[in-house]
Amino acid sequence: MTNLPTFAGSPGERALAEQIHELLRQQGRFFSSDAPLRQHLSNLVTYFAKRLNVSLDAAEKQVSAALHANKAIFALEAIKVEVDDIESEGTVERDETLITTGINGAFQPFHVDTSHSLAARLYEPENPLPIDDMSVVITTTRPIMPKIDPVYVSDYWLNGSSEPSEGSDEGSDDIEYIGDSEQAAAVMPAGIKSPSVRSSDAQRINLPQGISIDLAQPTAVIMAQHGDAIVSALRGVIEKDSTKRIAIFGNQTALESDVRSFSKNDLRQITEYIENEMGVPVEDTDILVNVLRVNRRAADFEKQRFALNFRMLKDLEFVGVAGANLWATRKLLDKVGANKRFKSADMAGFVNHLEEGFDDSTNVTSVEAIQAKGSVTHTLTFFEWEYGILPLTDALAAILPSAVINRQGAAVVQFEVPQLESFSVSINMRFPVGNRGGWLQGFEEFFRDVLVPGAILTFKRTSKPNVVSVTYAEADERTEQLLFIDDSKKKSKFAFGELHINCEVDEEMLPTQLAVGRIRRIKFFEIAERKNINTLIDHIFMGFGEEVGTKQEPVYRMSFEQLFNVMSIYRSITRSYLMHALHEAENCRVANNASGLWDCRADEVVNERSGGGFDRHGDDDDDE
Amino acid sequence: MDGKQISFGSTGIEELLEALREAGEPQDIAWLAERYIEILRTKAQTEEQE
Repeated sequence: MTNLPTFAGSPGERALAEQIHELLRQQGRFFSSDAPLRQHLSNLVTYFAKRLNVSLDAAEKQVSAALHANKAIFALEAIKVEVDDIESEGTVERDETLITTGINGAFQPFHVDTSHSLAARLYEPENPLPIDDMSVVITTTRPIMPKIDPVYVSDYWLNGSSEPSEGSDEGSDDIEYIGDSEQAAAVMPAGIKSPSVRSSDAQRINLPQGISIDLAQPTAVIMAQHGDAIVSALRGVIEKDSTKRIAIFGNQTALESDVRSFSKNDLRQITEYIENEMGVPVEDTDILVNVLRVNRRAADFEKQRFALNFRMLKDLEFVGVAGANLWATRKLLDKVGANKRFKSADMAGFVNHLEEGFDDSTNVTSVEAIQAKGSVTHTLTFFEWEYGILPLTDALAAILPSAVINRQGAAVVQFEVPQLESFSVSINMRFPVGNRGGWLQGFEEFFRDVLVPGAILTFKRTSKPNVVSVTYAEADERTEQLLFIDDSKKKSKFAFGELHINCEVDEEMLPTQLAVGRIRRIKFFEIAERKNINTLIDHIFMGFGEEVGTKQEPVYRMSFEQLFNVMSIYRSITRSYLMHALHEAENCRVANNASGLWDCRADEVVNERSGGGFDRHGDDDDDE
Repeated sequence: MDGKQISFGSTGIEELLEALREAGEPQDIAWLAERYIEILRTKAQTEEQE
């Protein structure tokens, strides 16, 4: 285990001392943990002069300052070294400084502690046993050593298993693959003629994922077969490299030492430009042209663009998508799609099931079909309408722009509504990270002002990478008593109010008083209380189910579809996840498979879990 | 060099850095992966011929 030391000096000296220590640790990465790590000062100076892009003198000054500021970690020793002299063709002595450190800080020479030893403790114990009892401790009988039988290994494995196949013609121009020949032929790009290749173990390498690659095959064939795995492995190597010699941003790579740096003043100007002048996320090219005054037609424009994107990662928020590298500040990003009614952690809890294999959005139409069509339809649930969110399902993700960098948390995507002239809304798109699901937030105004729960929306790609069009089918206007959350009092509650409907809706999902009026009998559940799906199931069964049990053992029965519709008022849900939850719940069972009816023994469970909160026959609403 | 001695991610990295330096401009990671495969192939074949 490595415990890194704390470095002293000015910030610059500390940073450089840390780099020197890291370099020396790299040098001794196969040494034992107590081995000295030594290096000549001149070698360090040469290395850092190149890395910091400064003269040798300047580098020597900086490195010496960093080392002297950390004398407790780096021991400096003046020595004489023999170097080749070109003029005399012999060797001459030169003054040199030897730097010594250890993996965990200052080098501590290994000290053998001889004050105690097992032999001394055995033969010279503090309280020796009587000599009669020594037979208990020492035996004169020689133990029988177990005989190990030799293990015979087949010549097949010893000599390798890649003998050339019979009947092959080495002089032939035909493609000849040994091993993956069928696959190779299948993926061989048109127009590429492979030379006759003969595979051997000597030309096989293994990727970190365990995939074996035959280097005897042409590069195009290897890339066609294993391109994704190779790129993924190489990306891992680059990202894990502690010396960070290769800079990577998205799919672009460059030599780190060739990537220009930006001053603090540059960063300040960029931040001011984004926050104060623009007030919205800004594209990298705009920053280059308008802030850093780089000419769009400059020969090194792309190089500068890469440098900006790579260097800004640690200071700004990257919120771009493939094709549009957008930058924002944390302050600005927090404002995009901001909603004080829920926390990100709560929303993540409602969409995690999407990453747990319960995303059924592509059961009817596959991702490929959606991508080919370029659009996808979605029926708005009450929960989505109320909070202005959309779960990032596979179906939606199929047409939405993808993340650019590894572990990208968010992107800002513009949603245009062609039916509402010049109406456009900036949406905060939260990408799935690990097993946390993704969602989009910021639709609240659009959904609440224009649509109703149950509205059928169509999302479509546009020519701009970060712009998506959203449309709805218009319908003759009508009025319905629909569900909404009444936040006018201290305690929120479900209520029904007159809402105008002027779009086509899925009538099953329309929360009319007739369909879901009973919801007012159930506890409201604050948003943070809705994560436990079993509690919701119990309450919904008790509020909406038909009583089929006895007074002693009350059982409630309702259809799966009705349960799904009510559940989608409380939280984001998929049918497959709800079905899974029902099967897992000990108090629920299928009543009639054909009609999709379920029974739930809910009474005692509800009382145990929530301490009541349910009034089946009474009415908890004063206004009703 | 025998294929068994080739370690993906450490063998031939210096040559890969040189290729990136020679390119002079940012390159796609797929381009880099192709160059790396070619470098590893050269290493494997050189040893086999020797």
